[in-house]
Parts: sequence; structure tokens; C-alpha cells
Amino acid sequence: MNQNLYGMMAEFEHPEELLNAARAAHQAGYREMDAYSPFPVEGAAEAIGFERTRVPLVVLIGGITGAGVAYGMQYYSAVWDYPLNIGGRPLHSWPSFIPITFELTVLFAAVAAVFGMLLMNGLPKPYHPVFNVPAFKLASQTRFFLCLQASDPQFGDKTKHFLTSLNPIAVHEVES
Amino acid sequence: MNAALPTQIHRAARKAIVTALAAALLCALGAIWNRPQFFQSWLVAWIFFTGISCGALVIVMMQSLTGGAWGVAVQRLAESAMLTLPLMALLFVPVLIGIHEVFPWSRADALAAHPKWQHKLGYLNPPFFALRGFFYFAVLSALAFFIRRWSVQQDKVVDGPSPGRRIRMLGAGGLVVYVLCMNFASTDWVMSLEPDWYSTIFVVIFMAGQFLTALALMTALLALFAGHKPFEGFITTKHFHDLGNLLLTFVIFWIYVSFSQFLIIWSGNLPKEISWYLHRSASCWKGVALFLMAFQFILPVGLLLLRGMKRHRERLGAIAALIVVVNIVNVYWLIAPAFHPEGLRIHWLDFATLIAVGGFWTALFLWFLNRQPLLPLHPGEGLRHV
Repeated sequence: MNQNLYGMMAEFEHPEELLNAARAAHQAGYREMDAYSPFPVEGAAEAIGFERTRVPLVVLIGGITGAGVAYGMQYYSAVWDYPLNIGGRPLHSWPSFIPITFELTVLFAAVAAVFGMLLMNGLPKPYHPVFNVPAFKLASQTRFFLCLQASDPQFGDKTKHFLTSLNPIAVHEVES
Repeated sequence: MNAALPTQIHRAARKAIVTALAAALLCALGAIWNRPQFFQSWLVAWIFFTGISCGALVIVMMQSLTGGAWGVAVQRLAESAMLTLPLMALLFVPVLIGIHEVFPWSRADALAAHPKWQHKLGYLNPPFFALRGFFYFAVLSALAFFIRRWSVQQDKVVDGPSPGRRIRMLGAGGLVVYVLCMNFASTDWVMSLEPDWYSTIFVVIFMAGQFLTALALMTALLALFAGHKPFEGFITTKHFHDLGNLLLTFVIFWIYVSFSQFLIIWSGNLPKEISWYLHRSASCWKGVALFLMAFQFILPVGLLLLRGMKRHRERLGAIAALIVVVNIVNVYWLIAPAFHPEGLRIHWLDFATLIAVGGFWTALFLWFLNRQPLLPLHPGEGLRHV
């Protein structure tokens, strides 16, 4: 078998076929795989065995950090570093700290969501082997692809037969 | 619990009407015993249940514009709730009978003590107050009536033009009309209890509470009914997840607008403006305010952030039920400090009026619920899928 193989990719015409193929592959024991489609296909993530994302946790940590930074910064400047008597109010006037705290919570959470999502997706990625398949450019137009990766222990000579049995338009070898 | 859902709803409606009649009898005795207290308690109960009816109307109108599977799941529940609006117009009559006990601008002695209120009498006078009240109910009831009528027609359409477009058009205009009505209604019914005080964002707090209560009640009922036909098999985890997310959004929206008003008044620190908050934080009222903070904001937000809570039928139902109950306290805290600025005074009539108004409301709600299939047979275009 070709040592320089990244995986084996099947090309489909309809999203339902992609879903069925992904479920069949998961059933057959394949875990290292990815699906590519021109638009989001409902249920595709579940079909390739993707259960949970840790992005919400990153967002939560981002939000708590933002709240802590904002409140701490205001407390430090208003109470500790440069205390000013404003309208006779106590130095630690928490209601006036809330808007900034709220805004920075949202900002930090949103930034954490964007960058957490990108990093966990392994992006930015200047090179990806799937683009070695000439037909793959249709993945952003009309075709649906399922790629079983060579890193999967199940991967072997039988993989090509397995993918062919799913009735795709074509099965491509993906060079790494 | 083995009987079919419509049978159970029918039984519950009969129990509700019996309970309501008994509580109404107690209320009548209470009204003889302590007339001012009865009308003050009645206002709280009536505002709370009117809020659910209005909130349900908003859910239906909003859903006709945005679509979404969550809306189809609660559509018939919300429709039945909004149809109770004419009943609330009827229960508005005791508010008018007791107007002198409740609204200080209608009393000669209070007017004499506050000469400035004379200038407000062009708007705040009993006949105009009554007329406005019935006008809001006429407009909102008409919206509810036509939307329900077309929604029932939609069930019968198999081929051909569906009334979905008409519902959407009315829903879009109706939302604007609703906001305008509530702008004046919240001024009349709640803000005018303290005629010196005003806040332009108050109506938003008022509407946020209405929507939140209605949505929480629909969610709790859906969780209760989900194990029975026809909900069984149709209602999925995804429905509860969506409703949980919406609840989370509106809990945050409620605290956002509530805090906005507080922050502006606190920053300005003007005697006329802060009086409202001074009444609402005097002695035990402060405890009520902190209770609202804990149980209408911190606890629900903390729980609803967890995915497992939103996707679990019983847990989400319990959180939703909590939000409904805490909203009674919320309405109470908005209104009752105007009567007892010196501190919290709970009276048994507060409970009796709540049970009476709630009993009549529930009975009519359940009656409408049984009139049509519990799930729409032909949801409008674009609403079939998640």
C-alpha cells in the first residue's frame, strides 16, 4: 500500500448519501474521518461521530476572565490607585462598575469563541492533503465528500472496497 | 395518570373552576373585611395573569414571523393562553370599582396633599383610565381572535392558499400595536401608583417580564405534557434545548433592562427618581429585591448555561416553573411597595386573589386548549423543520 497516503475519499452527489456513508463508515468502525460539503448538512457532525465540542468551556473561561479583569481594573483604579470622591459616593460603587464588566465579559467571551474555535479546528492550516485531489474543488460547489484517514487503525486495503460499496460517483486516493 | 391528555385537561379545568369559585368567595368576604387590601391584592394578581396572556400573544405573533420548531411545539399552548384576554378585560372591572383604594391620583385627599398632581389629571382621571384599559383589551383581544381563527383554518388547508401569510402580516403589525398598548398600560396600571415617578424604560421591563413568564409557563407545560399523545414522539430534546436557550436569553434581557433603569436612577441620584427604589428597598423589601436577583437571575442563568439542564425534560420544566413562580414575586415587588413603602406586609388576600384570578384564567386556558388539536396539523411553510 502507498505509504504516502493521507486517506481515501468518496465523492457523492447528494447530502443524504454523504450522511448514509458517514453512518456506515462509523458503523464499520472507522473513527478518523471527515466530511466535506458545500453547505452545512444537518446531522453530518453526529454522523461522523462528533459528539461534543469544548468551545463552550473556552467561552466560559473567556467570559469569567473578562469579568474579573474588568472589575479588578476598575476596583484597582477607583479604590486603590487613584481614589476620587465622586458625588459623595463610596469609592467601591459597584453599580457603576457593572457596564464595563458586562462589556468586557462579552468581548472576552466572543474573542475566546472565535480564536478557540479556530485553534481547536487546527486553523490556520496553509496545507491540507485533501486539496491534492483535483475533484475536491467541487466540495465548495456541488459535491459531497467523505474522507477516511489512513491514521485510523481500521484503514487498509479493504477501505477502497468499503467506500466503493457505498455507491459513490468516484473514490479518490488522497496523497499526503 | 393513565387517562388520555384531553380527559386530564378537562378534569383539571373543572378543578380549576371550583377552586376559583371558592377563592372568589373568600375574596368577596375579604373585600368586606378589608376593602383596600382586597383591591390592592387583586391588582397584583390581575397584572400577573394579564401578563401571561399578553406574553403568549407575543410568542404567537413573534413565532409567525421567525418560525422555528420550538414555536410549533408551544403554538397551541400559547394560542389558548392569549385567548384569555377577554376574561382579563372582565377581571379589570374590580380594578375600576376599587380605583380610589388603589390609585392615589383618583383620591381627593391625596390630590389636596400633592397640588402638582392636578396637572396630570388630564390624563390620569377615572373615566379616561377605564376607557383606555378597555381599549387595550379590545385591540389585543381582536389580534388574538383573528390569529387563532386563521391558525385553525390553516389546520384544514391541505392544498391551496394557506392563511399563513395573513397571520404573518397581522403578527408584524400586531407586535407594534402591542408595544404601544403596553407603553400606556404599564404607565396606567403600575407606574401611576406613584404619580411623581416615571421611567421611560419601565415598559420594557414590564414586557420582558410578560414574555419571560409566558415562555416559562409554556415550557413547563410542554415538559409536563411531553410524555402524552400527541406530544409524545413529536417533542424531542432539540425542542427543549431551543426553549431553554430562549429562556436564558430572556432572563438575561430582563436583568439587563431592569439594571439599566436602576443604574441611571442611581447615577442621577435625584430625590424624585430614587423614591421608587427607596420604597422597594425599605426594610424587608430589600430582601425581596435580593430574592429576585438570586432566583430570577443568578440561579436560572447558572442552571440554563448548562447544556444538560436544557436538554433534560424534567429539569428544564422545573427551572421554567421556578421562573413562573418567581415572576409572581417580581410583579408583587413592582406594585405592592407603592401601598406599603414602609416595609413588606403580606396579607392572606394576596394569595386568595392570586388563586381566584389564576383559577379562572387556568380554567378558560384549559378549555381553549381542548377545543383544537394540541399540535397544529399543518404548521405554516418554513415551520415544519428545526
